[in-house]
Amino acid sequence: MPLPSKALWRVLFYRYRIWQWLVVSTASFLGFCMLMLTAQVQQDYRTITQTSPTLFDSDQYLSISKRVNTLRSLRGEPTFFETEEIEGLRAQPFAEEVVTFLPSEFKMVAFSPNGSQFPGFASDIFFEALPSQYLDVVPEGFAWPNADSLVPVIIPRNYLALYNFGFAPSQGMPQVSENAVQQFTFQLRLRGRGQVQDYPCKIVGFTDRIQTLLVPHAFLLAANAQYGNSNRNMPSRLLLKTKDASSPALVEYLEQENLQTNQDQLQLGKVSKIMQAATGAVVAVAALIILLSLLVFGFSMQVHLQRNREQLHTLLLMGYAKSSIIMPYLLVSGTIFLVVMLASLGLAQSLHSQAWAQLDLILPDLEPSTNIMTWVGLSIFGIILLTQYLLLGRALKKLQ
Amino acid sequence: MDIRLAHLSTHILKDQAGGSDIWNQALAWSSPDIWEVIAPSGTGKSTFVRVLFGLSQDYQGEYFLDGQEARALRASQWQQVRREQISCVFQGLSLFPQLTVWENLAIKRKLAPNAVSDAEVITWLERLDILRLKDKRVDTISFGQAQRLAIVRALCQPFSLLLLDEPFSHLDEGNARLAWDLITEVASSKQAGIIITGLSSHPYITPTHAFAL
Repeated sequence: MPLPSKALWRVLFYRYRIWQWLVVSTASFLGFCMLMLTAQVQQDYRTITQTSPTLFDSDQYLSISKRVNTLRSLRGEPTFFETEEIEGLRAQPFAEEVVTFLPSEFKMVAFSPNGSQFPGFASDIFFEALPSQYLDVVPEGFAWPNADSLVPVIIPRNYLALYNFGFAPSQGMPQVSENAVQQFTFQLRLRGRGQVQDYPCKIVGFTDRIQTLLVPHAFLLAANAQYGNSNRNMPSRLLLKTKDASSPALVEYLEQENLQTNQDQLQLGKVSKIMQAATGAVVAVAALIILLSLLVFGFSMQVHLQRNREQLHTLLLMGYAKSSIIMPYLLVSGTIFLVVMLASLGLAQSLHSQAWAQLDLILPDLEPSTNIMTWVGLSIFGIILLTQYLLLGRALKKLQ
Repeated sequence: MDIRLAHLSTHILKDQAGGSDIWNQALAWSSPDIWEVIAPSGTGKSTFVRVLFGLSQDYQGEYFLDGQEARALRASQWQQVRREQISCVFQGLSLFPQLTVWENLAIKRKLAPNAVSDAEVITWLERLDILRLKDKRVDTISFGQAQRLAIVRALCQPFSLLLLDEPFSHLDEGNARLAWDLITEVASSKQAGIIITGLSSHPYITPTHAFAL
């Protein structure tokens, strides 16, 4: 179909009010930007949660312990949990599950034997254990099948960060990566009930959820039985699994019972929930804006066709086909929406890459997610063109 | 091209007493017949033209266009009829006031770019004494000049029937004669027929049939 002549343009757009396009373009620019960015943020979120599942747990785990205060210290009161206290927590509506941390009840030294990478290293140490299903990561090899096995250890990821960014630079020691740490084998010397025994030991993984040194439950049960110097078997820390760590009832209960917890986990859980709600709301708002701008376009077009009714009718009388009247309108609106879409795509891409660069500083191991903004933009553009064609066709039909 | 009318009537005739040569009659027209329809205002001249041009389907009886019931034609088929078979000068002219004389012709000629040449159009404008207005906007020329422009525009397309609805209402005798000469000359070159309506008869029009509404 050839481009319409200048005279035809002047008939079709006779007394057209250009400001209507400005309103429609501005509104759809905003809508496009919001929709593309939000769709991309959701895509990023999916990628992040798949590649780093621990970052945004939907189930939230809180380690709970009794608050240590001066009075309690002076009196020498222990901070163990009694069975009734554990049952009391378990009975709360916010508590999905409550498990006890199993502490080591014997003396233990970690050291590196002469001839290893770090000769002369030795430190008193303690361990705790939880059944594997409560861990955020269960690395390969985190088990203790028999008494001669190597003891696998999981440490909190931020302990390594503490070493790398705090301890190592101040002591002039090298920083180490997660991989390097996992290559390093050292020895554990367990001591109790007059027995001494060495075990080979290795760090096999890192946790974001639990702030303690973890060994397999089976190992600690066996070791406590063999070297343990008490039979009290009372835990000082609990792991609480909850669906909503931001529940006011939970916060109130913790305060009332004088208990403390790891606030970070609370924050992450909140962030995840807020993000889901916020992106959902933004998608809805963006879709509404685009819909409204389409409606404004529809109405303004209808008003224009109505105002220009006589001239369009003359064109039809002269033998102009409906399609050749719709085409110039579609060409103009298509071009405007395409320009708006490309402009918003440009802005959205640039904002997203800036945000991703920031995120990359905090979480350097993130896999880049698929860029879906172009596809979102093109799809919406296609829908808009189709809608416009239908709207124009309908408006023109009324003139015939 | 031929047209057959079988007992055509419209609601506006209900109040009218007396007979009509067109309404409620069985008539046949074929190119190159020239019909002249003379009637006073308000007797349905324009309605008749509108029915023939497919703009009004509000009639009783039957209207056959080349053997096909006109009501059965789709909108797209009517557009083709208007591009290739029936051309029309409307009583209200239906020109674009914001465009120049030449642009008004261009917009019509775009539909059939090879129907007439620029030179032919210029000659026609010159014969009707409106070539000097070629670049003037239509809203700045007189109704009589616009009427002549509408006539030239109607000649710029292929047609087998030319419908003229009171085309000389604002023309003096001399200009009307010039216009009629041009119209008959172009129509006969295409072997096309004419149906012309008017308030009174013109001596230079020699129709095949004359009708009173």
